[in-house]
Amino acid sequence: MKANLQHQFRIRYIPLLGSPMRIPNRRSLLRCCGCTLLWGALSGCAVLHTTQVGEIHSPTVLQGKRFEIKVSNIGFDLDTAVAIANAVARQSDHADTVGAAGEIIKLFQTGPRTGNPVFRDDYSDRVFEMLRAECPSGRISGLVSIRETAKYPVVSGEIVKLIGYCAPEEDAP
Amino acid sequence: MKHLPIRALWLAVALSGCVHMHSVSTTSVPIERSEPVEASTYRFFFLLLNFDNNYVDQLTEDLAQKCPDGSIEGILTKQEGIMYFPLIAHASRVTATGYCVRPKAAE
Repeated sequence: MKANLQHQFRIRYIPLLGSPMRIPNRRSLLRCCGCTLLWGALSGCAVLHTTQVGEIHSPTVLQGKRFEIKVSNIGFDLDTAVAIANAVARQSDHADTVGAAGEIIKLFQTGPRTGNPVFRDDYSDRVFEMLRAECPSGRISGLVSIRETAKYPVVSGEIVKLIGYCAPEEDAP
Repeated sequence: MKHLPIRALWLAVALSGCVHMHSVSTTSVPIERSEPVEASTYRFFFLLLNFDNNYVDQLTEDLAQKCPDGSIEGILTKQEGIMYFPLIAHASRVTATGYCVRPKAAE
């Protein structure tokens, strides 16, 4: 193990500092960067698109029951998919066809948006029923609506999250 | 030496940073606006890596603690993205400002 480490890190002498310093060689630096990128790509990145805070009845927020509702759908990152397909198609000289197909699909996905396109956008419609189930009294305050994306390679989780506070019947505002 | 002004300009641009507005929302503004309250939350991203957005979750409670016996109305929520240095240093800030409306004493 120690010999392996000595192989990876060359000891160089820096005259200005007057002491030897371990500087990793190029190969181990590349391996390190690759591992970091792989770890970052596989663990997923969270992107916050919008946040909205609703009106707050402070006693409900401070003494009520906190709840959290999360609904999500699978998003599809067309740019990454086309890049991967291009790399594969380059082997068989079909890269131009794949690129053109990607551009045609993009034409059907114009307009403002948050995150990646999803196959169905009605997944967030059921939050009202979920709110009713979480807080049967209906006395909800401090509702925070969050729209976020959990990004992975090619696919993503397009998430709508609601955080709120439910007042018991007797403490209702 | 002749490239010094260009280098200084690049350095100034790189170190000054940029702020981007991601979203703004507001609720109904009350008549009583004498007591403004504010709460904000912030997260720094190194190499754009961010694995959750839980830093926003405490925002409501922070705001409620500023006005514990009343209601907060007219809440303006502002979400900003901050770039300190391209790719290396970024941050996100969510700020909520509103007005504390205390219940009127029984007449």
